Amino acid sequence: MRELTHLPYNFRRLDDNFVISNYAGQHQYLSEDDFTNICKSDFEKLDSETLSSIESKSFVSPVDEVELRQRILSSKLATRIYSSLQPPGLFMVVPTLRCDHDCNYCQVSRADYNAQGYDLDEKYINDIIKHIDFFSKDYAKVEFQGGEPLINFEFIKRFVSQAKITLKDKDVSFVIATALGPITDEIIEWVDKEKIDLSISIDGDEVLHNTNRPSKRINSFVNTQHTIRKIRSFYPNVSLSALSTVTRLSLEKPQAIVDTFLDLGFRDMFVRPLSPYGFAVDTWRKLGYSSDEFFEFYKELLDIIVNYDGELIEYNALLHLNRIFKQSNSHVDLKSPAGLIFGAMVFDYSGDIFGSDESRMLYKTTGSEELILGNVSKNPKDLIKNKNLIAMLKDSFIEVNPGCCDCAYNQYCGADPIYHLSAQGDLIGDKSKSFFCDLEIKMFDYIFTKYYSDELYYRKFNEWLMMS
Amino acid sequence: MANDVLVERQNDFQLIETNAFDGLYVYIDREISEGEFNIPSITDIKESISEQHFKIKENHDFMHGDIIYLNNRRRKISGVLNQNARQNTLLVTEKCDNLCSFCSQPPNEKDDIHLYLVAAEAINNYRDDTVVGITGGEPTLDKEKFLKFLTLINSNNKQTPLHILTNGRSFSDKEFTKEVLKLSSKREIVWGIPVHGHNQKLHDDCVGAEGAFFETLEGLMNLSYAREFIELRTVVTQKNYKFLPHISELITSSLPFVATHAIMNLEPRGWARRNFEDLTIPPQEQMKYIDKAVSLNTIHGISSSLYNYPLCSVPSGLRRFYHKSISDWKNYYPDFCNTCVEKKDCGGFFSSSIGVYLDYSSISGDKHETKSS
Repeated sequence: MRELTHLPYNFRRLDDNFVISNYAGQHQYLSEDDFTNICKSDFEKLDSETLSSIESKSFVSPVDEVELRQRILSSKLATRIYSSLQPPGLFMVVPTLRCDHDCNYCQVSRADYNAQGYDLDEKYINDIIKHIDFFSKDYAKVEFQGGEPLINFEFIKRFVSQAKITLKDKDVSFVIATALGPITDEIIEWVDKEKIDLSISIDGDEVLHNTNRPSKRINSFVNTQHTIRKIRSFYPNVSLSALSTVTRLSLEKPQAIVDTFLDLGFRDMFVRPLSPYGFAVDTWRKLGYSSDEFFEFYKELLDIIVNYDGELIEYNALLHLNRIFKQSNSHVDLKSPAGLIFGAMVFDYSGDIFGSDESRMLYKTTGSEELILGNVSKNPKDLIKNKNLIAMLKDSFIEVNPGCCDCAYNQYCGADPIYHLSAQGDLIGDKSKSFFCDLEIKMFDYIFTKYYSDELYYRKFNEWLMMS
Repeated sequence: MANDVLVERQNDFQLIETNAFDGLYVYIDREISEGEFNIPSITDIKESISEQHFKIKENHDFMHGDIIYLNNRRRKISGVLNQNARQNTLLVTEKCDNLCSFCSQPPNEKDDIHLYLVAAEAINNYRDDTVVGITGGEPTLDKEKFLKFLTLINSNNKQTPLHILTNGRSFSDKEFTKEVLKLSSKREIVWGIPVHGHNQKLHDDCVGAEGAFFETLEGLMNLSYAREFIELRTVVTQKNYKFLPHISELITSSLPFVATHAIMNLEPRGWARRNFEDLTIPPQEQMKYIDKAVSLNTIHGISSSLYNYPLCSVPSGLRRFYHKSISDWKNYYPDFCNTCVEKKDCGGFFSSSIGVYLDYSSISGDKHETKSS
């Protein structure tokens, strides 16, 4: 037998099994016996299938091949970091902070419907587009966020028509993240004509949705339902996607959430845990949950989806699968270094530029000027040299983050400096006390376990991976 | 002279009469007069004494603008780049540093400089909107000649896209890689590079060259830094068929920049013919492993292609990866294919497999009857 030696890898126990992973972003799911045999270098006790797999994936190497395998691993690591530092593809624009909803979990990124001074001035349109042009390569996705962006529809209209002229050589797509309150037939017609995607929120059935997302002006659920049906009947080319934010009230209602999505004709959904930014203690007590409570809910929900006899994709699971199998960098929260600027740029209503939506929220609650990375009136070139951006990115390399460096999921996760700054006052933070880390570890644990031990999940997850 | 191996496509015609010297010509259709060419033109209708013409025995399918090669001594005219061909491939050398036991074009030490020159001249005088294949031997074995070739085809501002078959070993040389990329920065190139094993032992054994795996993988990584388009190719034999899923694991873990993985059935030509008994493995025995390899590629976001298989050997789940790949001039259909309703979608068999090289057991008889009923 050829002499084999170990190459670096991390490991994690999952009940009676282990998952190991390395800098090539590859993993292997192993029985406890196989794992023990590998650790003890008892390679002859492994079956040839397992041995060939761990060799192909550079977990072990014949001694005469070590140099090459080391180069493969470092090349993979370099490639991954390089691709994380590619120009951003996502540009978020906040036309207004005003909103017609009073969602329980949204405390900082909204202002009253009639409030003054919360609209993005149209004079900034050219400056924002100039920034997008400077930072993007050949592709850009512009997402209008709020508040409720449609309250400032005139801005969006002018922005889109100007962007289509200035960025005509690039592939630019537009999304409006809206709760559909102010939508009119005229707006829908424009959205259809200009091929704008709509990203909406559906938190569950009428009671759940309206409790989470109350509005003084409309019945949010009925309005959403009515608008979706209208769009599906009369404007079938308008692309609709929907996400569901999970609060304490959702935990009992996974079936109702899935049923609502199906009833409204969705073939995919995104189930998102609360991001605990700027919550007062008593609000979190009312709406929040522990990671275990969330996971009990999420497992039940995923089970309903996977067992559903038809096409239905849950995107939160899929984006984790895409991280694991395709090393996809498209999700800004799961990137190393973090997705600040090099994942998404946020143009706030004030003209300030942030590195993520969370930075913008954190700024609202703390007023920390360090989070502002630039302003649309400045030269775009200044932004990449911003020392606060560099400081935040520098602390977000997962391979050297304490608590992450020896985690078996580090090649699939992100170190999220803004979350840890918000929750612990430190860009790195103590991962053992981090809600973000806790949730992500449980998510990866669950996905690996189900993929390798449940035939139905294995089949469904593969279907989703092959479709995306 | 090595002129017979100038092109892979065997469309040679017997020359009866000509007033032209040996060499490369642009074929002119008398009814179409436009076009300016830098090499002499030739036609097949004798109109004036001064005009170069030829007469051949068979009917040909040359089109205006095709590149042909005339050889008086062998009384032969060969199509070099033809618009009627499904693919055009130019052979630039017969020398190689790999000695694959399944090589369909075994190496030869013959001088090759004229092959590079003729290939460059052919490309420079042919339309630049279709892909031209470059093959060997190993086209990059002589680095100087390959760089010279790239320089020559850059001289007239045409950006003919190329599909270059190389074992990739020369690209372990970073300086050479840089030179190549500099010379081809404006050109679309697909690099077809073979990986036949998931480790050094298996790959080096398949290609009969120690150190090949190391150099090929280094070369692949160097090309990947420049975001080159890479098609990885695996020829399936008795030696490696069970390791196909592990080759996919190597690709998805170490070479994820690969755009596509081509899995290729053996072509009984050249050395593959000589070593056939030791190499061949019936397609139906390969499919279990191919299925696993293709699934791994797909969930990792790498596309797969199956080449050189008769369609009936490919199970329905794998058909979307199937390519009707065997060139029209080298395939054939045994009699039992005549009743098959899927014949038009099938690449058939290599004509070189007629006789002992055709594995009838790979084709299920009753399947054909049900299909045709």
